[in-house]
This record gives sequence, C-alpha cells and structure tokens, in this order.
Amino acid sequence: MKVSFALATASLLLATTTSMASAVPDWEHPDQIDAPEGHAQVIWSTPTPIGEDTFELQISLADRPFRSVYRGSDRASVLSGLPRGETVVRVRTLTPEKSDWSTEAIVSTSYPSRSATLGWMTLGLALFLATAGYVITATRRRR
Amino acid sequence: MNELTPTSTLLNPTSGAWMLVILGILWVALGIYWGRKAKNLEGFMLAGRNVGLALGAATAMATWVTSNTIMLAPKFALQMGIWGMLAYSTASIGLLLFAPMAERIKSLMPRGYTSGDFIRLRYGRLAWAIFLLISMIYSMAWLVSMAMAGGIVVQALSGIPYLYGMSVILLVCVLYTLFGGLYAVIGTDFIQSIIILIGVLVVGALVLFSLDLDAVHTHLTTEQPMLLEVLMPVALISLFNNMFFGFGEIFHNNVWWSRAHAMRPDVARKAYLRAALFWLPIPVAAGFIGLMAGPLGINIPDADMVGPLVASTVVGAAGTVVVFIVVFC
Repeated sequence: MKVSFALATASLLLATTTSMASAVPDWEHPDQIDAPEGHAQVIWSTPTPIGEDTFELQISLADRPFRSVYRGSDRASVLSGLPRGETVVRVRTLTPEKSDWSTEAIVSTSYPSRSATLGWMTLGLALFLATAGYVITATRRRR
Repeated sequence: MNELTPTSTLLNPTSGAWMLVILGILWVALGIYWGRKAKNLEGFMLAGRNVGLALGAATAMATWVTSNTIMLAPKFALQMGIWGMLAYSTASIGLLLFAPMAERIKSLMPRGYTSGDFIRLRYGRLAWAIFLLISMIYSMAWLVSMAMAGGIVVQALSGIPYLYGMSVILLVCVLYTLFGGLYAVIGTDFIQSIIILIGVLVVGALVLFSLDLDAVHTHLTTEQPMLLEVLMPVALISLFNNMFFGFGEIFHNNVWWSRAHAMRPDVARKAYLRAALFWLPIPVAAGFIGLMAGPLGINIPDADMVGPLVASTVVGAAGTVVVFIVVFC
C-alpha cells in the first residue's frame, strides 16, 4: 500500500514536472532542406500561443561548433550566405525553462558549377548586348 | 498576424492607422488640387503634353521606385550579397535604353496617347487586342503585387493586418489618379521622389554610422561568406534577370509611354536619362540595409521584410515612420 502510494505520488510529481517543462520546438518543414541558392528559411513551432515563448536558434556551419544566431520570440529565421556543404540548425525553448534541443535540421547547399554559372551569365550578357545594340542603332538610324 | 511576422513592432497599430489616414487624405487632396488643371482629355491623360525636365525626370524615377524596390533590393542583398543589390540596380538600364525610345516615340507619334496606339497603328487590330490582353494581365498582377508589398511592410512596421494596409494603399492610388489624372500622378511623383531619396539616404547613413565596418566585414566573411563572394553562382546567374524584367516592363507598359507622351519633345530623352542615373544607386543604398541584418544580429523571419526590419530596428520609431512614408509613397 505504501509502495503504491509512493509510486502514485512520484507519478503525479513527474507528470506535474513534465507539464511545466518547456516544449521542445518542432520544425515546420522536413529535417533536410536543399538550398541551391545558398539561403533557406527555417520555421519552428510549439503548442504555446505566438509571442509567449522565447527561443534560441543555433547553427553550425561546415562542421564548426554550434553558435547562437537568435534569441527571441520569432518562430522563423532566414539563413543566408551559406557556404557550400551542410549547415546544421537546432532550436530550443528558453522560457519558462530551457527545453531540450530540437532535432537537427540540415540545410544542404550545393551551388551550380562554375561552368554552368558562367554559361548562363554569358547568355545573359549576349542577350543584353543584342538588345541594347538594337535599341541604340535603331533609334539613331531613324532619327 | 501570421507566424512569420516579428512578434513586436515599433509603431503601434493605432499610430500606423493614423498615418495611413493622414497620408491617404493628403495624397487624395493633392490629387484633387492638381487635377483642377486638367480642362480636357489631353490635360487629364497627358498633363497637357507640357511636362518639363525636373518633373519629367522625377516622375520617371518615382515610378520605378516602388514598394517592391524597398522590399526586394534588401532581399536580394540578404540572399545574394553584393551582387544581389547590383543585380537589382540593373533595372535602371531599362530606363536608360528607353531614353532614346522616348524621343523616337515623340517624333513618330506627336499626338499619341498610349503604347497601345502604337501597336494598333503599326501591327493592326489583332496584335493590338493581344497586346491589350497581355498588358492588362501584367498590369493587374503588377498593381496587386505592389499593393501587397506595401501591405506587408505596413504590417511589419505597425502590426496592421496586410489586407487592410494593401486595400488602403490601392484605394488611395485609385482615388488620386481618378480625381487628378496625370497632373496628380506627376505632382505626387515629384514629392514622392524627394521623400524616397531623402528617406533611403537618411536610413542608409544611420545604418552605416551605427556599425563598425571592420566588424561587419569579419562577420560576413566568417558567418555569411557567400554574400561577399565574387563568383557567387546564383547571383551571377540572376544578374541579368532583373534587367530583362526592366526591359519588358518599361518598353511595353503604358505607364512609361504616357509619361513620354506627356513630356515636351526636347525633354523626353534627357528626363529618362536622368531618371535612370538617379535611380541606379537606390537599390544599392536599400540593399546595403539588407546586407547589414546579419552583422547587426537582427533576426529576419521572412526575407521580404528585411529592409523595413533593419531600418526600424536601427533607427527606432523615427526610422519606422520614415520607412512607412517611403513605402506609402
């Protein structure tokens, strides 16, 4: 009887503690994000109303240690200028107490090759020169 | 307010609503005042074909500075770095190339009214009908996107739901154009261009002076290295995108043709050249603000809001008011 009472009390305490603990944020997108343009938006959520919780967002660029990039109540963040490779992102709730870290989201950045880049750029340049040349010569010829 | 909107704004919704009302009344009143000069169709549609160099250059420049410019140039810089803001500023080349075309339009059609007139006379009624359809679809999308951009900025700055902000902006634009015709449009454009130039300059300078540039460079090279990369692939590929968009927009849209028709014959070319040169640095100045978001430690929940967020964070309530007015313009 004493044992079951103790167990019940412990369960109650555990349940109370669990319900008071901060919720671990969930990603609103898959854990793997492709960012071929070098930028990505990460979005997270918790069951609490918007504006109530404070979060900490950390990123790790190219296997470097995690560092905090944001502390506040927003639930999204844009990461930009990412180097080629993988950027690992994690978030946690800070209030009323620190939660565990969320699952890690991985932002994969694989830019187009240099030859593809220069090829498209050259095409753009050629089109621009053709257009500008046509406009200038046509308006001069007919003046 | 959606989840991506920052959870606090520097201007409260009541102040924002008052600013919307005051600016809206001011713009409509100016439209009615200037519109009294229009005595006939030519006056209403083309401001009497007598627009001079200062007003001509100002109206062309202000037309090209939209809510989209204030939103997209910083967004380009945030996402594509140095090349991003330069890529946005290439839209001024459209204005530059339209300068000789404007002169040609004036000599070919001294009594013309619209870009559609030229298509009808040159290519026939079928081509004209197709042109009108494309132009109307494009113009509607353009108008709505600009109003949406304005609404989103108003929401980011004051917390007013963007549907209300965009509706007020659309209503005010329609009203002052309806009452005042091109006289009102050019008059408000002139004031707007001055406000926009001063606003971008003031906010840019305040952001610049609030930063240690060495620290900015260190931050960018270590944390956002691709923003300073000379061979940033996406930025290089997109370098010409905005320029070609500018060509398509300016060469076909009646917004530009009607201003050319409205200018005096000796003014059209010079006015568009000056507008291009005045417009060129604006995306660079606005883009610079976006590039500073990371070094300043400002969280950007949505790339569309980077410019207004940085400006309002750095400059405070005064900056918020300046951005608000610039966007409304």
